[in-house]
Amino acid sequence: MPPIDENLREFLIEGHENLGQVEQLMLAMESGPTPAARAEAVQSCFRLLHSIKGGAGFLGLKHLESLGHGAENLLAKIRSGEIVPEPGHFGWLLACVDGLKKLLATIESTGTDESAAGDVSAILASFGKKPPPAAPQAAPAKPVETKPATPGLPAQPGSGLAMLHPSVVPPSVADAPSEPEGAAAGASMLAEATVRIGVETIDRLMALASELVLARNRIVQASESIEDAGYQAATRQLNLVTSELQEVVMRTRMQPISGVWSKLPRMVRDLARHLGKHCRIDLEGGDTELDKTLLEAVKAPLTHLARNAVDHGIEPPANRLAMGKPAEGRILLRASHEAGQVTVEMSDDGRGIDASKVRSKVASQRLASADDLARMSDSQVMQFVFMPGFSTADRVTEVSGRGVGMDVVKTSIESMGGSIDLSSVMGKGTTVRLRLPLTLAIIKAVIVRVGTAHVAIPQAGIIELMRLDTEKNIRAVTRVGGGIYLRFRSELMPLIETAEVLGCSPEESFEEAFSVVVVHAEKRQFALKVDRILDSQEIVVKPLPSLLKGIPSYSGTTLLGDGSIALIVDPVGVARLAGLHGRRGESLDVAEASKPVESRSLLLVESTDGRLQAIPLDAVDRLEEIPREKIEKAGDSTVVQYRGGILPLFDASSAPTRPLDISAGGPDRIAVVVHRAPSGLVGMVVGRIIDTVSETGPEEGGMAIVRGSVAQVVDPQRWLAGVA
Amino acid sequence: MSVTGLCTFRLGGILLGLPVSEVQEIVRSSHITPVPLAPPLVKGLVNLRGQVMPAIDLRWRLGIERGNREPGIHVILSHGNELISLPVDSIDDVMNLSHDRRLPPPETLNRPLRESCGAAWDLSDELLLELDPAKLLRGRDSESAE
Repeated sequence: MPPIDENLREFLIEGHENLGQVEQLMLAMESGPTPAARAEAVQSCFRLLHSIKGGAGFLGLKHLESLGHGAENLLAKIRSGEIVPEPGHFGWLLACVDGLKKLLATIESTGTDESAAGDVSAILASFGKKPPPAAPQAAPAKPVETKPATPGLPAQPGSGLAMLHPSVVPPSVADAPSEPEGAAAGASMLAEATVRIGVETIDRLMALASELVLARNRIVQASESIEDAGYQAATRQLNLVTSELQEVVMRTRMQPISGVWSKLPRMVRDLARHLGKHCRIDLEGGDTELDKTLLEAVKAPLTHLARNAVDHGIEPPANRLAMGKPAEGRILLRASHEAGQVTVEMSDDGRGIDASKVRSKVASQRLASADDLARMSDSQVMQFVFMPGFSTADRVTEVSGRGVGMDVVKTSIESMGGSIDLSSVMGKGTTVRLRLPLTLAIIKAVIVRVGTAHVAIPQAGIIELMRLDTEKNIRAVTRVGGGIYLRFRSELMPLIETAEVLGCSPEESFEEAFSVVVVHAEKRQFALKVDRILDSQEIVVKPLPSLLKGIPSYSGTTLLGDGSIALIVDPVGVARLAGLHGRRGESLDVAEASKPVESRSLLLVESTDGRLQAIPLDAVDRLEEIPREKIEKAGDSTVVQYRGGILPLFDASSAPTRPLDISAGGPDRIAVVVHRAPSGLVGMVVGRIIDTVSETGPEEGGMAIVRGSVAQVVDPQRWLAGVA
Repeated sequence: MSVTGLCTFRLGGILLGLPVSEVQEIVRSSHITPVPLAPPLVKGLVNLRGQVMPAIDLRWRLGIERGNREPGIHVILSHGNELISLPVDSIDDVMNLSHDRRLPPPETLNRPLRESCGAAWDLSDELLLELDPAKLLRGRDSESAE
């Protein structure tokens, strides 16, 4: 047996597994209990065959690829409803599966599939040779055969089919089922070289190891009172072995992501060359550690995405040069830990996805009503790319196409509890962002007390832990309308009373000393008020029981050193709950807010001339009230001495912007929104600060619907352009 | 005559049973960690040898009056791929019951109880209510219809 390279070896192992599943699914396809179950089986079959075909294409196994392609073609037609499957079709598909199995065995023993050319073309040619009605041995055309499934079908559809349609499958192919026996035995030798362990087994091992640690702790404690040298030595031994065992079990799970993507550069290069393109892939954050099971699961989606990027994203060199881009395309793959999640981002600088093409495709496939479609933003429309059977590629290529890619990726990412989103700029490129959960992983977390509960906050998103105890510190807490904000390092961020969000009573109020955890997540910062910061430790993440899955504030559970249970808090979920909390009486917005629609926080103000204005909160540095007598005139400008410098004041209501007119009279104290511009601080004078809100309505022409009224959205950058 | 094996226990004086095949084990006293924001069905979380599982508030679910003491014995139910703890007052017995004793749940039961029952069994001196785990875990969603 020639030495097999690692790629091929993995492909063969996976191929055997996939084909086994395909066989099961074929049977479900034929006689599934409901049309939905049958459609599901067709879809899964299609995916499995697609992945075999894709791998074969990549490894240059032409015959395997063409046989896979043939079977996939038929399935695509069944899926789209173009063909109503008849028993004969299933017979042929099963013959394809047998043919594929045989090919895998051939490849394993010879390293290529060259010798199988004849078999493949025999199987492919046998399709379409439907039983001619005139043929003597053909079954009479019963109406039953045109139905997708026949309730009274024999228990062994395979053999039953062969009897019904002896001419569908040529004898050489029909005999195939007996042949792969030997071949399968050969294949299993390879499969036995690796042991695949179920996730549950590893989970149990992990749970038992942590339980052992707890038992060890009790024994070590108890042994202090026993003065027996032998017993002491045994305890020490137990101590060491247990620690090591736990470490080893933990280590088996965590591996750097580079192990998965190290094969991508070669694949991208070969594929680009095959397509006559130039492309390189840059990898960042390869040392990001991922749970082994996640790593395995993320491999196929990543390969798919890379293949898509090269095939559909990157343009041929001539087109790129014409567009003023370098001839060589670039794909950037970046992994990082963010807020206790692993983010993997793949971006290319290719042609991007044409939103108008997606729109017309959505319309033509009736995936959304014309009204809905017209109302959707481009980024919302892009999400249709993840629908099964959706593709904007005009032609079907052997490499990728048909749109099977994205829905496979989405399904597999979601099946591991992750999420995926896609953004694309026409002509600039496409970015796909995968967020993977930390389920099963070991993470660093800060254990805090909230009310009476001990909870763990993943350290990944934490910027700082603070105790606010002096008066100066506590003055950093500002109340604006219904919201509470914390000034921290000249930034203003929402301060969330975690205990209140979780429905328990806090121990410490905002007026006295308290602790905060400053978190950065989803591109914004916020502070969680907690009652006590206890400890920082590595915790084993256990999945949340499904009865608790609907609660956004938790991402998992863990066991603490004393065996007690702590919930792992998802800071983003808590923030979301707090945001809804602040808008009581707007229950209709709950569903809206839980959608992944981009919403931003706005500072709602009343302008000096009484109009409703909204300023994006991330543009707000501080909120101040300045006594009128402190305001000075300097030439044409109105200024105030502020924090050791000069703060120019402008009236936020006027456009074009003009300096504040202080002669006009008014209240004794002037409300100022301090904005940090590149040139320095600028004060925007408003009539009254009302509240902060999450933007609810759509924003159009600088206007947004906030709480049922129309507010003018002040874009500080554009506003400042007026100032200059 | 076919026979069904039921693991039986008591809660608030009522004799209840679960199919033996769905009961993994019985655990005496286990600390329940409350979960803020949890639905009323979930009383909290329990740690069984390193596995974290929810404990169901069976009295709430079945509409049984609160007693003087908290139920302290946990029936560990294996349902789907998950383990779930049901705290009860006491454990009775494992009974093998022939199917001629099987009755539909009596109409006179209170609604939450009747909705969680798969069947009732006539034990000549007492009625045994067999709980249906799937119905039990669905929660009291019919409440609003009442």
